[in-house]
Amino acid sequence: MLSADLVIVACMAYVALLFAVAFFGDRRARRGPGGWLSSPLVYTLSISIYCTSWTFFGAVGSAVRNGLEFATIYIGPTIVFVGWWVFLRKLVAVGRTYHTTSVADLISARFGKSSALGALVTIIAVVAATPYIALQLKALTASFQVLTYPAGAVAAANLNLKPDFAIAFWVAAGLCAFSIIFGVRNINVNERHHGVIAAIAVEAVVKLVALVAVGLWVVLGNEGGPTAMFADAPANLTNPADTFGSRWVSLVILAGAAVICLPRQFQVTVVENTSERQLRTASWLFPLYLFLICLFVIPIALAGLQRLPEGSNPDLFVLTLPFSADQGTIGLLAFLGGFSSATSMVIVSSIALSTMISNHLVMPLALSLRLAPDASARLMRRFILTARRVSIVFIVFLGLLYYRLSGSFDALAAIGLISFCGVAQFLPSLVGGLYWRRATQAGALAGLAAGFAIWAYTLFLPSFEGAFLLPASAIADGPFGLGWLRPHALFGLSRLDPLVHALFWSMTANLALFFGVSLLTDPTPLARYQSRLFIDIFRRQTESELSVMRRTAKIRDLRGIADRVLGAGEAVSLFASQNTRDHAMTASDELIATVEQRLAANVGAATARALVSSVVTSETISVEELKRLADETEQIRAYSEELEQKSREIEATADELARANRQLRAIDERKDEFLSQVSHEVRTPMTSIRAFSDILLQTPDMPAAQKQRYLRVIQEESLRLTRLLDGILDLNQPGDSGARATPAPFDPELALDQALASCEALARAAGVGIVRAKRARRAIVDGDRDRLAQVFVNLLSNAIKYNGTRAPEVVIASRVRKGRYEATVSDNGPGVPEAEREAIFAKFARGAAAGQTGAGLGLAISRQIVTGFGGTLTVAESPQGGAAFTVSLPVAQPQSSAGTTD
Amino acid sequence: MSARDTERRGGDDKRGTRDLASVLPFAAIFLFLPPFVLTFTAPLALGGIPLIVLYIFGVWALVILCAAIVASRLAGAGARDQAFRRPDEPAKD
Repeated sequence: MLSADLVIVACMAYVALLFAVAFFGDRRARRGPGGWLSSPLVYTLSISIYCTSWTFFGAVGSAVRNGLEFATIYIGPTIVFVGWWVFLRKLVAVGRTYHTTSVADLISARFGKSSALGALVTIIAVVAATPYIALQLKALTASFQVLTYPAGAVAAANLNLKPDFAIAFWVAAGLCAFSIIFGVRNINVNERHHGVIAAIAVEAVVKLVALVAVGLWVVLGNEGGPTAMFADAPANLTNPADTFGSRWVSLVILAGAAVICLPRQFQVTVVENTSERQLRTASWLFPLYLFLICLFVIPIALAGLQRLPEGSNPDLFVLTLPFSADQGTIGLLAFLGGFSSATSMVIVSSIALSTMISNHLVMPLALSLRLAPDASARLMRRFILTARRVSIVFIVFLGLLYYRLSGSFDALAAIGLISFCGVAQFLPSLVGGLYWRRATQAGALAGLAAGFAIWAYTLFLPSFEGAFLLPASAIADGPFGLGWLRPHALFGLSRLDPLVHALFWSMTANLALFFGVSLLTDPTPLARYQSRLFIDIFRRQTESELSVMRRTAKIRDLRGIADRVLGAGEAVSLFASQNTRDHAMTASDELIATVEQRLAANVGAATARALVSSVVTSETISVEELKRLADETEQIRAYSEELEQKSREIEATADELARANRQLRAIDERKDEFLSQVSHEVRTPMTSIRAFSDILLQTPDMPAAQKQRYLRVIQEESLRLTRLLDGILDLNQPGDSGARATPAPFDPELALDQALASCEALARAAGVGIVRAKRARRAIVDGDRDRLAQVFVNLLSNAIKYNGTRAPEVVIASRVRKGRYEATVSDNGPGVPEAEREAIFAKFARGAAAGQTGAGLGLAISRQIVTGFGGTLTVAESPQGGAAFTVSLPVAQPQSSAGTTD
Repeated sequence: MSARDTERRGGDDKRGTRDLASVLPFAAIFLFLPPFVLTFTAPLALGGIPLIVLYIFGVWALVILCAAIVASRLAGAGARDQAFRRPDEPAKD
């Protein structure tokens, strides 16, 4: 026997160690995420919380009673974890991506953030967890009692001691304290509890080491090898054919379901997960842990049967075996291992369940009944924390109550399986919710409620053996003597094991109603939206999907809610990117979603949605759009549409590039044309300069006066050439043609004369007769004389050059009419076809008619100049049948308007 | 071998590993559950240990070994995929 004081001191020392680990874990987490806290190893060890005192003590008991059956409890999770790629990966990705806080949160969020569903799942989870927590309290109490029994542990285990509820009470109180101190100190965005996880990881190591130590001690101390060991093995181990019946299958299914659905497993596997890497490692490391835990169960069971007196409680073999051989140290280690496995389970379960209770039961009620102190953030947070703390105490003491009420002689495994069957009811909604789009909220509610009711009736209530609600007579013969309603033989199905029977009926009802009601009802728009997010978690969402839900809310209102629930500090960081002056403005869809997500971490998805909806002024979810998008082919269509749109954009860009290219080519072409035109323009005065200089050179004895005249022409032409080049520069400056020279009043006739003089040589060379007809008198226009002369030179030279008739003649006439000075240059050449009369003035345009090789820029420049003076340059048919170009300019002085002459 | 061949082979490897990862749980179910498991329930003992005990623990170890191989191969493939996070996935904390 160990003294109670020593055991208590050992426990206290151990708890102190856990506190230290949890404390440093929390501190490490506050310094920043990552590090060893988020390593796959710690993650896997935290999942090992699956192995509770049911495993530590109960597995051996189960092996003694039912042979290999104990292994099913670990084979089920092994299958689920090695098959992580099929289901767990999706579940964990959904939980991680959408910051799920509990299994109730996930199911409620998937089915349209339904608060009813969240509440139902929470109630089921709490009720189902009760026997499980009772199991831990029972194991703790029993092991403590056995260890401290005055007559020795072996004798105690043989006695079937009456449970000491005082010990149970203090154990429960201690567990509450630890859970509250480390689990509910603060409200996290993701409900991640780094400190607790670190402590749990340590406990996982302790229980494995303890069990392996006992196992090794048993195996190594065994003389005679395996043959001797299995000599007295129970029949179900040596002749196991009967083990593999419906109960074997049911237990594998139940254990596989439990490792997903148990609130604490969901907490450590999904909520605390930070990356897929963790899960990938856990996929083989966690089964390996289970394998190692189970490896020594059979040897310990066999050794216990051989070495301990007949009638010893097999659930305590792990503890009593070392003491029977006076191995106090190993015994104490075994006790600590069991202590460890029980405490970690209770702590994490109560934390997970308290979050669920506060988020899905207390907060929705408090908010709808206006009990929550929503005036101040501090009070609100305190309210939430208090709700969680009270929930923890409630859960643990509910377990204690179950322990008190239920038959206290049950095997540990049998109690645990009641819980497993209860939480397995979540499986259809959970799996269906992640794979089946048609699943509706009503279907999930109906299935869960029916499964829960049948479980409670066929398994949970009978486990009290008449002490609670269902009297013993009703359990034996059915309520009111109705035999077909017997809890263990519903509808006369009496040949099944009670557990298999309960699983069969509850799952049948659950599945039937889940599928049936889902098919009969339509999902709400939000449920459709959520189902798309959850089911297609690994598929890239198309843009059209993400924009299906549109909400509008004022930033100020959102901020108000965030302040109240999250506290000012977090709210500030949440709205940091928003301009404070814009608070009356409408919040973006993303901001609303972010706020809702943060709120969900504190009060659950359904409550968060209710809160946000209270300030959202309009919400539209296009059901048609969602329905359309739900179709598989429609997804492909949406993709191809997106691709098409992209390719259209690319095409448009390509078109634009092609157009730019064409433009550049055209400009390049025009540049070439322009250059040739410039040469042409420059050539005209050059020709006349050459012609006059030729004459001067060939006739040295020319009269001085004539020589003088010719030289002046040459000079004028060179000057004009200079000015022409200036003009070309002008022309290249867009939009300011003729603006360089400051306009001044001048007599246009002078410009005309200047032009005539410069063309004289050209005309003579071409044999063209120039007739000076009517002249305008006293006409004054505003502008630049040289430029006007340039225009006339252009017109005259064109008229001279392109006149192919036998007796070419150019007639020049000018007059002032209706306030306009008009000068006409007409010829008897081929004329300009009516269709081309506007085209020939286009800049850089060539005349289309044959022989019009160089024309174009001259006229364009001319028109530009004339237009710059506020006049017009037009072409018409001349009286001689050729072309008649008319320059019309507004006269500058009103008095000359009357002076129409000749 | 050209770079493209290597890439294609890598893709095949990855696909193969994923298929293996999907098949593994079903293989485990087949091996652990009746009727297949019943073939090993004969009251035999190998070296003093009943056949069924050896079978269950042997298959268990084998399944874990396969899972470890799959996980390590997926980890190799995952490292190459790291750059391709879903664009709309919220940032992880």
